[in-house]
Amino acid sequence: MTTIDTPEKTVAPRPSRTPKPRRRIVVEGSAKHRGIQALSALLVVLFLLWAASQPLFRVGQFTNVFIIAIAIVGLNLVTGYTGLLSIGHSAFFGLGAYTTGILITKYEFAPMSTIPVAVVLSFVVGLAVGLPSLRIKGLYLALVTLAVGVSFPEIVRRAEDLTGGATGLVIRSRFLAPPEWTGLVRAERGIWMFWLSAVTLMLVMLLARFLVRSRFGLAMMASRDHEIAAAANGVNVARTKILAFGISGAITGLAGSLFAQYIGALSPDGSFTLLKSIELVTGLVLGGIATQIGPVVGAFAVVFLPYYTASFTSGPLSGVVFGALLIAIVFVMPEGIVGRLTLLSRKVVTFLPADHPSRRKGERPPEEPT
Amino acid sequence: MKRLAQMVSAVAVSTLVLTACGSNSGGSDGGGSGGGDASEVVSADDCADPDAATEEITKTLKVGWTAATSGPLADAVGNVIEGMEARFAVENEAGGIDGVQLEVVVKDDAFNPERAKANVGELIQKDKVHVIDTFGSGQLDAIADDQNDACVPLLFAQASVPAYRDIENFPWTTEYLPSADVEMGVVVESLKKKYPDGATVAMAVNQTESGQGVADGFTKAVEGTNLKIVAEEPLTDPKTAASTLKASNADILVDAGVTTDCLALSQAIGRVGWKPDTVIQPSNCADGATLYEPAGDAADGQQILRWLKDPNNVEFKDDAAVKEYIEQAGANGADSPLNSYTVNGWAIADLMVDNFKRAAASDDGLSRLSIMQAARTQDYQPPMFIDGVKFTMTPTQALGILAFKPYTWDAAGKTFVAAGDVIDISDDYDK
Amino acid sequence: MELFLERLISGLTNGSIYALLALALVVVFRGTGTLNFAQGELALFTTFVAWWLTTQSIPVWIAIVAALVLGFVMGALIERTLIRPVQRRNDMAVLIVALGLFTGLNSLAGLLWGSETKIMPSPFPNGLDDYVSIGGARLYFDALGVWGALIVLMFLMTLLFKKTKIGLHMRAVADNPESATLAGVRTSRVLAIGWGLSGAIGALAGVLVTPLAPQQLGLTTMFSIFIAASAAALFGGLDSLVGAIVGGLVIGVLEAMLTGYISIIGGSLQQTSALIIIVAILFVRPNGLFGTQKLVRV
Repeated sequence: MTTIDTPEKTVAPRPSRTPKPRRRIVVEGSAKHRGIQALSALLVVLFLLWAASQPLFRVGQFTNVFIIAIAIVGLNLVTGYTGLLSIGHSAFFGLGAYTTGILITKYEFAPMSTIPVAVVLSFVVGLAVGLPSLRIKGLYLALVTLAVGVSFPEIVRRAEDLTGGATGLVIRSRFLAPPEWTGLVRAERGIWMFWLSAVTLMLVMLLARFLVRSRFGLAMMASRDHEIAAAANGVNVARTKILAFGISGAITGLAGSLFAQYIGALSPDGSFTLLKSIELVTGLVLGGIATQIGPVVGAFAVVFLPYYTASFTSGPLSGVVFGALLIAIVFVMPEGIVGRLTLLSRKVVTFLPADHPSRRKGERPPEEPT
Repeated sequence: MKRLAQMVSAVAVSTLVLTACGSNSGGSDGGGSGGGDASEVVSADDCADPDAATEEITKTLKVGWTAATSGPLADAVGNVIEGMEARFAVENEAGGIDGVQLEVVVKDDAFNPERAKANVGELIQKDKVHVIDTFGSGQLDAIADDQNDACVPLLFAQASVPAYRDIENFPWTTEYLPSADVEMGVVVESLKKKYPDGATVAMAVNQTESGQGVADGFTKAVEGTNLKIVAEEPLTDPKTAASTLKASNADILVDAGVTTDCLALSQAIGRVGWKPDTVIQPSNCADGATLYEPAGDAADGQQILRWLKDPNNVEFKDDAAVKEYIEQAGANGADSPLNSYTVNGWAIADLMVDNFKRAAASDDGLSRLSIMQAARTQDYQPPMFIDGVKFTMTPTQALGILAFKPYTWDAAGKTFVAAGDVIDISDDYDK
Repeated sequence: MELFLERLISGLTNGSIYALLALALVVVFRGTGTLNFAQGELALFTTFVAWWLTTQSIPVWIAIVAALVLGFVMGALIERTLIRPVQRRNDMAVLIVALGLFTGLNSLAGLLWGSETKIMPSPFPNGLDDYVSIGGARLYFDALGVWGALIVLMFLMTLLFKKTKIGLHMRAVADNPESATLAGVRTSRVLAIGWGLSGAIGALAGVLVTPLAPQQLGLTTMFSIFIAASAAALFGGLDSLVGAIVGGLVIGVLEAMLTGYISIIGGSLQQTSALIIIVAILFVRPNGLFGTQKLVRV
């Protein structure tokens, strides 16, 4: 566990008994590719419209899923793409939440205007947490993040004047009314938070996609896959790691800010302990590490799996079932749900960038990645 | 937090004044105990769906729980719910509330506020429960707004957060556990009698909401007395707290802790060889066999306040209510009727049944609104409450339990013994 | 002085427990290269079994031996059936399996024995008068027993790794599994034994700590101990047995002293302050105090 590999790399090739099914090739940017993209976008919109028409408590659960998904997108940047395991992201989540909570209750900020403050603060703290990565690596670095995760609730309890201490910080729903321009009234807060979280999640996913495909994204993955080789090829590994931590923290902090507006009640022992970090890491690995859709699928899993195991079983048995399910999923899909599905779908369809060498020569697509 | 509370109450007062001007010119005429007009503080006017709140409940009345039925608190929560279910079963057998049967719906929140919020939404919107109950202050914080907006009564929450005793802001929420301020007020009353010339106090404080509440309550209550707090230590590590507090050599040790601290602190002071003249344990450390007996002599003479009859105690061996309780609870599915949490669940169900009956007898009949109005005007002693202790709610006061009976632990006899009569300080509050 | 000694004793006792569990973590890491997240809950489960045996009027010493055996069997079984099949495919998946075990074992204990606090009897005399006085401070026999257990275990481990064939094989696998296999070491058996060994050590830590722990034996007892122990293992150097012991003791003493003497920290920043100091030390020694630096080939 000292290094975090991409799922593709570690999948053992399997002997194929049947002849390979013919695969369709879709070139990025082609009309067919655009069509698929438009279709997916349409499906997403249809899903959101369907979800928004569900009973309010279900809408609330979806909101919770989106918020957790945003947090996991943040975690994915540093743990998935840069390969630095963090078990301290509960602290960023909490920092964002408490920033919003304090600004609303103590300084009477409008909820929306607290978001940028939460993001900037989480970014700065993220940079600071990334600093030790200059010298400390692997599981030892995970210890640094563990320290951050353990400290956060203790510091919140200590800074009682600001945070309300162990008692917690409650943002009453009248402070959380939707902004006037939406035309929504206070009672429709649930629906407002649903759309706010959904849109934010999509923006954050686009940002992550852009980042991963940029030069910086290449640098992140290069430092993950082979740090020394990356440095030898001119990647500023130190800067990459620190910045990745900063951006990752900012995104998870953003999720925390939305969370505060959704739940309205913050307490150091409630949602910001190490258990939250564990939930985020679980979601990331279940969904598929270093994949773009994985965080969303993982968030659905960590919110709905315990919910359903608790509704089919009672008491402690639900915990046993949840634990067994986690292990079972890993056995069936060690690359995570999205990782597995991607591998499966490659047997049917392959997406290639327009400038892929095999395209230019008009050859067959590359063999199954090994 | 204090500032927030002030702001909240300021807003509350202003809205109260406005509604009072608009709808009710009568003014309150019955501020005394039990009287008063609950419709002044609870109405369906602000509800998202006023008709649903006043709709008459027929056939079944559902009480929905969101609580941690898994995890470290599962046993405690499970016992409370079993006690309630047993009491409801007895009521249902006797014909229910004017023919309306009582049903309990339970959802596990694993002590996670997010799941509590989702659970309450589902209980209200899908299961259509008429009353909600919960366990823990974090849960209560996460659900109070939603449940008040929906006008579904949350009755007798197993929590003690001062904010929810604010009737104007949370008309649809009541708490069962006694206020830490009231409890510590009674403690200080008894200490003043014991130490007329003053004494020094050391306090071990758990770093959680309830620990802080007890500590704040005690600090407030000793103001102006000649009891002096000379040392205060966090209870993170009881051994360290005990060593440090021992150095203060105080006469009195106050455990401002949660249930898990009581035994640990007793053992720790025993081991550092400190025997304070008086040790005060919080009322939630009620179970003798698990929390006092293992500490042996170190726990001898420790003081605690109680409001429930303890079925384990010889004092209540011949008590008719206790006998009936043990028989009925056991016969109706409560596995451990002697457990104090089971007794709590039973007593809460008793209080609920009292509310439901009075609501059903009201002019409007049994509805969510009439149940809440009944809950705001309650003056009732459940049979399992110690004689002389009542649960009292008025339109101006939401503290519930305002009297306690003091006990001390007898290590040799392995039992609590009464240490005086019931101390009632309701006169200090209901004004 | 008395207060100082009291704190030192309390710190060393807690530290010995951290050291025991840290040793269990190190033994697994040396074989498998993984931090076993379920180590604490595994210890919790075996301790519940030991407690349950004592309630069936079985003497506490026999119950402890049974817990150790069970710990060994469970550790080896988990490696064989749950860890090895996933590890071949994906390192990150091992983490999730461990987390699944973490939740599952804890809930299983709750399911079988309920969540109410249990009183685990101590194998050592632990009455209020069972102590020796050192400079006014009291050193209780059960604390002394924990120290003794740690010393005996250290001795046995040294013997195992230095004098026995299986110990030699374990060192070989820890160094380089591939060469070890080529040299005829049965790697898979060695790995299972390593996990079994750590399961047994964890079980020992569990039965010794619960009579001393503030929460006694409950579902949350092992979590904070596990956090401290993993910090101890990392601080000492994940692959170093000596490091685990030194790390555990240092963390225990640090916690007790910081809480006791620095009033700003008080009890409320106990873990934070200890961890900050450890992170600062890692800056100077990135592989822990006694850890070895891995050579990287480019």
